[in-house]
Amino acid sequence: MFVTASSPTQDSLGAVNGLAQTATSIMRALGPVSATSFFAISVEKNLLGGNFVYFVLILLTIVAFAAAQLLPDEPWPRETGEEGSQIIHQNTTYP
Amino acid sequence: MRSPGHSKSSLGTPGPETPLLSSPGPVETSLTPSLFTVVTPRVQRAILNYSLLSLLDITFVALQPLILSTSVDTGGLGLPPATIGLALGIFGLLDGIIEITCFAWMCRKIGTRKLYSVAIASFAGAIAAFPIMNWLVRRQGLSLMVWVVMGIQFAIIVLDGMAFGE
Repeated sequence: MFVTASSPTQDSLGAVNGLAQTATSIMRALGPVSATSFFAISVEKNLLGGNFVYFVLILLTIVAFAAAQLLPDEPWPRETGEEGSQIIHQNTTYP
Repeated sequence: MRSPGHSKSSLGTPGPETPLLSSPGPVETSLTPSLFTVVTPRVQRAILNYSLLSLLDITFVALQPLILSTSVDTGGLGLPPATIGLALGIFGLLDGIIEITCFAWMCRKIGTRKLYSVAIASFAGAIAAFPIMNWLVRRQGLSLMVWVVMGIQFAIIVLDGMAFGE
């Protein structure tokens, strides 16, 4: 919802979605490798009693939480409320 | 005007007299600025959040079966594959049902950003559940408490799945 609503114009919706998919695909490629490697390393070297991986992931959660605070309370309003989206558009008026 | 060498500097759309051969040039250059102009601050913020969310989600998805199957001494739960399959199957079914029925309602009730923030924050709990379950298994074996913690963890992940709707 935020990604599609962030698109500046209707025409750029495809480009924005493409960029978002690219970014998440890169993350999805890196995620399992790093997470399972961190798990293996923390067990092998007994970092923080083998709990180092959880420490790293909770740090990541804090970063993601901070990033979430950059978003507005509701997705940016659109000119037209298409797609049958569930959000209530504050500025949508019905005659 | 028709020389393809000019296509780099003139970023506009190809004129009506543009020959077929030089069309890849102008098309390519007209795409480049549009991709940059699309990346407004709010697009950056939305994509940053989406990337971090999927990174968190995929690390969990990768770790979950790994930790469930890892032996207890090495920080896992030492569950047999059949039990893991059953647990993940039940979870998947409930996850789907809850998200279909509750997402729109919760989004309206709590607010989109708030629900997203709650989902992200609760991720810390889902991650912390792994060492807690391992500690419980070490102390008391596969007791009811372990399954309760796993149930709580699953509930948190259902909430996290809702973050993908935002």
